[in-house]
Amino acid sequence: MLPEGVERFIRSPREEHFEEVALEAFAFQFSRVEPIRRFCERRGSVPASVASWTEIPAVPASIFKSVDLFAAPPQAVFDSSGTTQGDRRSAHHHPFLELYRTVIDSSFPAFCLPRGDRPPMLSLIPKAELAPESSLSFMVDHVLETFGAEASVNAVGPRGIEPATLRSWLGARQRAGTPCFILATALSLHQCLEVLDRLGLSFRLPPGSAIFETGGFKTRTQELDRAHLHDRVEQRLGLSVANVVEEYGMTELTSQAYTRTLLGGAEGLFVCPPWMKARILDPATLDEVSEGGDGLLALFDLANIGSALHLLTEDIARKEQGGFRLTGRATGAELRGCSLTAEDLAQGPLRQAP
Amino acid sequence: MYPCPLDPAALLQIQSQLAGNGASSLRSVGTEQLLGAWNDTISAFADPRSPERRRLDDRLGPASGLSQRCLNESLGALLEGFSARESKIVIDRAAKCREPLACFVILAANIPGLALQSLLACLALRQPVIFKLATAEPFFTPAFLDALERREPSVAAASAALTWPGGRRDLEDPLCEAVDHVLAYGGADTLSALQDRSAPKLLPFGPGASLAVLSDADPDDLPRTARALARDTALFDQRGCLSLQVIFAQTNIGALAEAMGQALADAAVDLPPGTVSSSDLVRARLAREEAHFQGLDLIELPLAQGTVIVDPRPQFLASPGLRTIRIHPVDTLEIVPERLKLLRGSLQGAVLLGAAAQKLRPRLERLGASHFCLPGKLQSPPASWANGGVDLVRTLSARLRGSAAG
Repeated sequence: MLPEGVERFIRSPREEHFEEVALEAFAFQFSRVEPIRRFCERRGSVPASVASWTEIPAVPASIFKSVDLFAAPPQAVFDSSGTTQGDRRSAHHHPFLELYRTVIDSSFPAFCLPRGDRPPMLSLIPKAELAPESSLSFMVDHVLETFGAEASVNAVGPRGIEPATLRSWLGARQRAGTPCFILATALSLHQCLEVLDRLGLSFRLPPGSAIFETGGFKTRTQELDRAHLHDRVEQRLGLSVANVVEEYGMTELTSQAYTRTLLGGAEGLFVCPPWMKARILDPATLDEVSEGGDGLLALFDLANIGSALHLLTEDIARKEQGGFRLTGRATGAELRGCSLTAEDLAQGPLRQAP
Repeated sequence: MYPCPLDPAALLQIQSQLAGNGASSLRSVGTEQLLGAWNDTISAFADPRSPERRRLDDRLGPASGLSQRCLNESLGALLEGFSARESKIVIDRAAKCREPLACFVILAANIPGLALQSLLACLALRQPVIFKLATAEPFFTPAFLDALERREPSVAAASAALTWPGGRRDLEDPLCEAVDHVLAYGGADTLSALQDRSAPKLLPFGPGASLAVLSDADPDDLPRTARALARDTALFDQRGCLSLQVIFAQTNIGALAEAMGQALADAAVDLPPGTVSSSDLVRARLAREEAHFQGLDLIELPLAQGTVIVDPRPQFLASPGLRTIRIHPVDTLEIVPERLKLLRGSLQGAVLLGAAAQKLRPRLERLGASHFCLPGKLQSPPASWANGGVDLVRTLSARLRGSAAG
């Protein structure tokens, strides 16, 4: 059912074939996802007329909050965490979970395990059985199962991070002296550090150890300071920011972008795998900005063939060195108040003290 | 304006002075004298050519992010509500309320002139008041107070406008403790944080929305109506709770949308958009793209100038800003209040045009709407406007026992 070219490209990408596979994927999606077909027809962009993937109309990711998009019967429905626009959550009806696994297998090791090893892993992200609606939990479960050594554990229970598991795993890794790997969101990393603060524990994780960090730094109730968080990671775990790989992912996507920190890349500079293309668009014209320019981040993800290939995110990013750097976020429209310019009083009590 | 009081003790000393000498000197001023000074100051600030306005505008223009013409018209509209007649109503109503209470007002940056309503109420009650200015716009309120003090020196001893980086709990908590009322204009997060700290004294003025309901609009009048509605949208660059965001209409939807598009284009000339942020542009762009995806009719001006979206789904969706207006065609106006239920407590202004629309007023009032007007007057509430349902003079004239506003 799935066009062969897509999976083949993800397993063995050859840039010169990208355009051809992208157009094949568009034709597939056009024929199977009715809302996409209608949208593209209104835009005058149909498979017969589209000559390049950049001409395929980009769908605002916010549409996932109100329209179900799927090219085949969904095998899972992933929901957004809903930190914004509280009353509406994105739902990604995913019809191709095997393709999702292929994406993880083809990208995660390249960015996160560059030595090709299989380290013991600690997940600070709930298992899928606790959070079946979370695409991140799906991904992390698969990573632990596929790339984690036998001593890998998930330290999140129904009531959050389990201090005993955390303490025992970190202690064992410190004693073992071989590299290990931690998977966390910024918030769960913060919670982990709070647990260690409470226990009064610090560890020196072995050289070569690394952290996978994803998710924003702002929640409904607090805004984390990234530099401060990483300082605390260094104090409590003995890992510097150079050991932290950031991941950029969205419920509405199947693929992820990563920083190349473990390969000597710059901190905060995201790079897409070969089957996902990022463009930074001028919001006024939707033309691509030039190098160094800021704009609306658009992502074309071949692996999103089951829903919407081309997405307009709500993120503002800067085009830089073949990748992108996040510079802001335009969360959905909110009520105006005599308060629009978020009076800085708000930020004081909400931001973690540096 | 006082310098930034980095020292909590210095701030409390200012508060103590205001509450003592300041309040008593203000109480010695006659109503006519106070009103005369107030009216004269309002007139000066309503005239962009007055020396006081020209001195202010050099700084206020860039800080507000509004174009000069839009700033002039927006302030003009706001000050219209503080006419001599309207201001006298407030002062007269307060004549008997002279308990010496003190007020701390936390201002937001998006609407220059936001301080005027609470300032007038405090002056009317002869109450001392401290304003915490938004760091992004610390100009209007001190300039207005300076001008007022030149006309009525006793005001100087009873009011102060200060600014410091937000979140300085070492400054804010003792001040909240020392005063009798805390008025705060802010977003939900700001107000929630303050609620935890000063709930019994807090009068929160949070985010809100305004709308228009049109019934039996005369097709011949549509251009004029649309011009007035575009003005309600464009003033303050659609940043305030009294900015128009949605229109519910029964008839002539296509013509209304066309007229709104033209009127917003005209407004872009008469009230040019100010500076816009990347996130403003992205929000407006995404709203357009979402509408395209849903197959809705749109009129698209250059992004900062405005967008008209005709959305047959009659639910309220907040505007992304940049003068984006949604028009919802409805078969019957009866469903409008029903569709606005989620806005209960956040509904602020309603333009009601036509007899059938006027009939909705009691139901919209029950949802919290507090300012009703004809097109073009949304941004000119009277000085006595019960913002958020709060009658300031009455509320500030007594000690609060609990949170009074929503």
